[in-house]
Amino acid sequence: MAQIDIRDVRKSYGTTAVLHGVSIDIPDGEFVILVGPSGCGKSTLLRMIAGLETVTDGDIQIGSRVVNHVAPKDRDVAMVFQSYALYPHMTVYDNMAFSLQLARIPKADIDTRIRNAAEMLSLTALLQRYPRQLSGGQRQRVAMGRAIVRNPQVFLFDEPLSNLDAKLRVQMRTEIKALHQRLKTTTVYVTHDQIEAMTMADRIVVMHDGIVEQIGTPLDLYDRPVNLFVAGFIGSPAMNFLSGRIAADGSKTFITDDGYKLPLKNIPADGAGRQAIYGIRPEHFVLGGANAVPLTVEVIEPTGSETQVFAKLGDNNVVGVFRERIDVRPGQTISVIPDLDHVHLFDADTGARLVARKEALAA
Amino acid sequence: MTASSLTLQAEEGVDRTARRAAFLHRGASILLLAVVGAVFAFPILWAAMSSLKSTDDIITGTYPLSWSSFVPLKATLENYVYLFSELNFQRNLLNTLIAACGQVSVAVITSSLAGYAFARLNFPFRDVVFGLLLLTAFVPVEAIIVPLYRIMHWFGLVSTYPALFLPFACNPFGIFLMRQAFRDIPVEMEEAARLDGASPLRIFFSIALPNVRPTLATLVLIQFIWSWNAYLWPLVIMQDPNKQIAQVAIANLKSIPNSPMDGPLFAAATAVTIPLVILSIVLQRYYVRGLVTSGMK
Ligand SMILES: Nc1ncnc2c1ncn2[C@@H]1O[C@H](COP(=O)(O)OP(=O)(O)OP(=O)(O)O)[C@@H](O)[C@H]1O
Ligand SMILES: [Mg+2]
Repeated sequence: MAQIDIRDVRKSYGTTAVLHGVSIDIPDGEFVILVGPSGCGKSTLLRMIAGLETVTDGDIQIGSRVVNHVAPKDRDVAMVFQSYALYPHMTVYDNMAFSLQLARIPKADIDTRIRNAAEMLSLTALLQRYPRQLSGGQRQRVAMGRAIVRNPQVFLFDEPLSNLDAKLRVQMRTEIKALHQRLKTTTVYVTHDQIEAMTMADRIVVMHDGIVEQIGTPLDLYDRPVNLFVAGFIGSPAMNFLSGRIAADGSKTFITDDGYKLPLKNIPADGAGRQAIYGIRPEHFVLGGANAVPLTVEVIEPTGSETQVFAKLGDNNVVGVFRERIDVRPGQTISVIPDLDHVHLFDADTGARLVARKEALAA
Repeated sequence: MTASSLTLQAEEGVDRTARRAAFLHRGASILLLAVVGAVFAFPILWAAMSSLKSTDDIITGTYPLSWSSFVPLKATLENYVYLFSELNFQRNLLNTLIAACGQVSVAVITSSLAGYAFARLNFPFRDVVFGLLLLTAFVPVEAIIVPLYRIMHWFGLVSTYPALFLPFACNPFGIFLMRQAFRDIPVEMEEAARLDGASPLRIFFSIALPNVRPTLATLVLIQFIWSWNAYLWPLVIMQDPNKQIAQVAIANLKSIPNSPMDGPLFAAATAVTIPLVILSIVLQRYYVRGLVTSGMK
């Protein structure tokens, strides 16, 4: 087991810079997920930890040593690839045994380790099969088994579930999480699925265009996104953004560009009259009440447990999610007010979160 | 008749024409293949048939052509007996086999190692070197036979077995074939092996090679046939009759003055063909697959 320190790591391919100084501290035993849109450099970073890519600048430390120039096999990390990368000409058993044989571990030990891992992953009946004789989910498990038997200091996963169907994905999510709780091995897991990130991670690293936007627990990111990017990336359906300004008269009101008045709980320091973006998650609208704003309904999607409403507030597209069963038709309007405790304000220019006075005190 | 049964009948009609078209198409394909097959097989079969006739029968039967030109009416094994007891043709066959096995082993080793390097390793001017290498495939043996001979002479290898195959150890076609096959292996598989602790050589032998087996079979077959059929180079470099290969020995049968050897000649031609046919049938499954996949990404 080991902690991982990533310090101001940069990566360029020729003149193309892909990572622009990434720093992440991962304590021993933590399950960290890297999320971000396609091409933001998640795989690159993961492969650098594995040693499959060179480090252009900065340091990567695993345990107590800097591993920048340590060969992949000497880093004591195991990786599960998106394509699983099983050895097609070896049985499941031999796939798992390969690394152990190379490490010259006694045959009896190898056997015990493989049987244990197979037990854990329900692969015992499949040990003599070849990868081509397995389903996608079983192959996925073998790939994990191959990592587990080595008992490495670090697990690395690169989108391991993206080739599975939705149902299996949910199941494997739980299994990987359970496995981590059992083995407590430091894990770095890459995905671009924010639900996967929210449900599995101890901490999430949100990446974007080669930089880290925010690091925090799932609920941290959900409740206190530090900027517009994170606010828009975490949560589904995505947060609503309304452009406008904070009322100049000091009242706790936000006025959208087309003149709608929305309530604020607090005003950020020297916020009065300032241009800003008002953020409110779809699930944080409340039906009716005083000072409500009118939403013109365009599409309604009931899922049974909740109702999603796609609507317009003036010129802005707005999504609302309600637990109640609301009886409206497209074209009609509903009155809603934002839940004051869950309003976010962002700087109009930088996109950075504007900290309300009270929040700043609490932090 | 109701409307629905009418349409049903119409549909059946359509079905029947479609089926007839498919049947005709299939029939035509089979016929075409049969004709092509017969054209290729005929000379070989004729030679095999003739090998069962005495030399006199062969000569008298050639003109005018008749039924007996093709079918041995008085079948005899005398040609084979003569070939193997008097001429010691098994000696030549063995020499051919030695040369072919040498050629195959050398070509498999160099082609797979070089092919892997061109597919996976990064080194300066890799693609330029590869291009130049491919160009050498267009240089015929005839064009370089004299310098080749001098080099062999210089090494003191004239009239030795290695001289039969060493000059062709580096084989552009084989390297190309293996490079394509290695490129088709997903990179992630080798990365997984690297993380598992395998050295490059270990990856080559334990991961890469086993996954190109069909292409290896193709390579073995092609090299074997090529070597088995070689004539000009062995003729030049092998001056020891005891180490001479079958093809040259067969040609020599044709040039014994005043003593027609047509019977033993056909027997020898047949004897030299049979191993190839067997090998082709055994490896056919891989052979086709290897050639087909080598082009695809
Ligand atoms: N070998 C390479 N040469 C040049 N550019 C590369 C190379 N590998 C990756 N890149 C670039 O680096 C950037 C980050 O790639 P990376 O694979 O890390 O993205 P990612 O976040 O994993 O995306 P995805 O979610 O699609 O897997 C991309 O813009 C990609 O084009
Ligand atoms: Mg990726």
